[in-house]
Amino acid sequence: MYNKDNKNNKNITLKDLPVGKSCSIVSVSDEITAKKRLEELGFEKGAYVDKLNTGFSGSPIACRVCGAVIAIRANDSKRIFVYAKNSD
Amino acid sequence: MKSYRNTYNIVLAGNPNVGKSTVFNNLTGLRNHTGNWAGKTVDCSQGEYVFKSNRYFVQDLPGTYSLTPNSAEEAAACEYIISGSYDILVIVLDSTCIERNIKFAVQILSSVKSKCIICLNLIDEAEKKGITINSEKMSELLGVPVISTAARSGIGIETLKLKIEDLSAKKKTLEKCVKPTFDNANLSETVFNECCQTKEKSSDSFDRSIDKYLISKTFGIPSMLILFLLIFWITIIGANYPSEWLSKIFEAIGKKLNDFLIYVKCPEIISSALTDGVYRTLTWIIAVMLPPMAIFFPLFTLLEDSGYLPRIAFNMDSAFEKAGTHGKQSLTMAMGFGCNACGVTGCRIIDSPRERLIAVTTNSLVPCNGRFPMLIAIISMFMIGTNGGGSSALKAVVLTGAVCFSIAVTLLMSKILSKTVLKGVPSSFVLELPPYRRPQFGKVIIRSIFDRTLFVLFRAIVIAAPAGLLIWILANVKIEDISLLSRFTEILDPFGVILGLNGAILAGFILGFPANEIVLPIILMIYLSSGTLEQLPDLMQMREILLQNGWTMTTAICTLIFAMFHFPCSTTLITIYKETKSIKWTLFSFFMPLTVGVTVCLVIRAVSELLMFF
Repeated sequence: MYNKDNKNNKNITLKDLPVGKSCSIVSVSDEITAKKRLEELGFEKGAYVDKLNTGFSGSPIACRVCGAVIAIRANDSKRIFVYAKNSD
Repeated sequence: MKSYRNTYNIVLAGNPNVGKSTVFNNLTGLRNHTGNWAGKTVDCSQGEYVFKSNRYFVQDLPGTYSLTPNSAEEAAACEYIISGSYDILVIVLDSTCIERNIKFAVQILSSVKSKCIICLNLIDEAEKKGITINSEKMSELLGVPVISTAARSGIGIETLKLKIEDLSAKKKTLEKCVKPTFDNANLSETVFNECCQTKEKSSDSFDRSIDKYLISKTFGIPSMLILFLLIFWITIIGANYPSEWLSKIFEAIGKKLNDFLIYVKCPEIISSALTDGVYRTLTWIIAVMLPPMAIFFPLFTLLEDSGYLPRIAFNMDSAFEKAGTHGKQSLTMAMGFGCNACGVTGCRIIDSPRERLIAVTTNSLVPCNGRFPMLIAIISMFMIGTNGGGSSALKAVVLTGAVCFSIAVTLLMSKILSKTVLKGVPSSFVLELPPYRRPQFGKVIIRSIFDRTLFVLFRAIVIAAPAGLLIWILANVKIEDISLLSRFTEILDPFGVILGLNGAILAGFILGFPANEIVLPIILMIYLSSGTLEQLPDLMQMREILLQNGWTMTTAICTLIFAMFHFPCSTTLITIYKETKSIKWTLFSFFMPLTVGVTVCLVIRAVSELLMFF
């Protein structure tokens, strides 16, 4: 399973994170072909990501990372594991 | 000959969409096209300027996200940056997304030995967003000069020129604090923490509230359709008036020209060739075809400038993903609405060769600027308001429907291609959504009207005038009392009839191969070549002429379809060959849309025959 840390429900994939929530990246799977490109854009371990919008079928996903808004496909975002932040 | 003290080579490098081209234009005084999206510049462009009697050659590289390239174009840019075969490297950074850009700057500084200057561009936008950057501190930490600019309004460009001059005079390579061995990640973090301050509250709330509607799950697609509708509506309404004025003016000039030719005792045959052949074709194109183009194109450029184009890609990505292609294909497709040849060149932003080929070959399935006037004319003559009136809004609806149909066909053909000859899985797709920027209205409108108008006028003179002459000659050279033109259209007629068209329409498309905007005028020329018509016909008179020549609703629909799906124009085809370097794929791009058009027309004709039968 992708979710290694099942005890803590806050550890989910970026795809499952609700729109409007924030998270920090736990890990980016090597299966993503554009992993290097994503890292250059700021999708790195520890990076702070806000999930902003999705397209009509739930893909792509628009995220704010490193001060810029980047869109990635749901297929890739399910391979990015994140730690959801508590919204106050 | 002017003599310069020295000549230096300057190179601009940076992430995509940080405004390199704007800085470039400001330095050199050139007017290269700029846009608000990553990947607008796909070619290196060169320019030069003179400052304090030194000459500077400036090179604008396509944007790269790092020095480890992902595509051939990026590789070329990266190699050039690392090669150091220039005097000064200007690293252009986007101040609104400074954290990521500092990383990029540090990476470059650690890998090149040349003299570098950092240009903190978009400083005005950053300030608005509550980001403050201490450029002196940054300069101190990185060991290179740091200049703040707002290139769009020309702020800081003089300082940049001064600094370049100052630095180019220095013999020794500048002492940089960034060493390849240094822990770069740490350094960029230090620089970011010590030089930059962002307000606590999210600084882009305005953009996000617009995005809530333009790229949302529920409103994204509807808002896109409404925007398309609005653009077509403005185009249709706006084009009416200049068309009328131009027709009147040309009519008056035509009469004077005729009088003049009679006055100078010009032989009848030559004056007829000039007025009925060359002049008439030329003026029709200018009066009927040019206004919609001159209105649609600036509107399209405004969308591009505001940053909406990548949002179209965002909204349509999942459809393209299902078709097995790259999400950026919707970007190149959107560029195709402006010009298919530009769309084909734009396909360079797609990294994977398989997906790029799909995007290149399917690009001409969407109607370009040159084909919109013909679509609008057919819709106005036969579908909406055939009695001369008709609401422009309804016409825009039909046109939007036609455009959606062309997008659906693009998706279908892409899917077929990616399942057959160009098999493969869609590659990852990363798209940067730039902040919205207020387009520079005046500049955009003036530039694109002038660029477009001059371009179309030039094409009209180069292509339409000879075509008009050719048709006149064909219509007036007779063998056994039947003109060559009649013989030519008679040969084509059987093929045309099968497709629900006729010989004259097919002849129009064939002769219009160099430029799509001359197809309809040529068809009319062919119909009118037997008789003479004194004045320029308006749309309703045109409709009469077409009806007299056997046009029906089926003919109109089939012509509309064929206008959207036939072979690409010669310019596009040449561009496809340049991009693919393959005759096979160029031929494929020629026959694939043609096959689509023929198939759809056959179906429409079959259906209409069936309906008549019952």
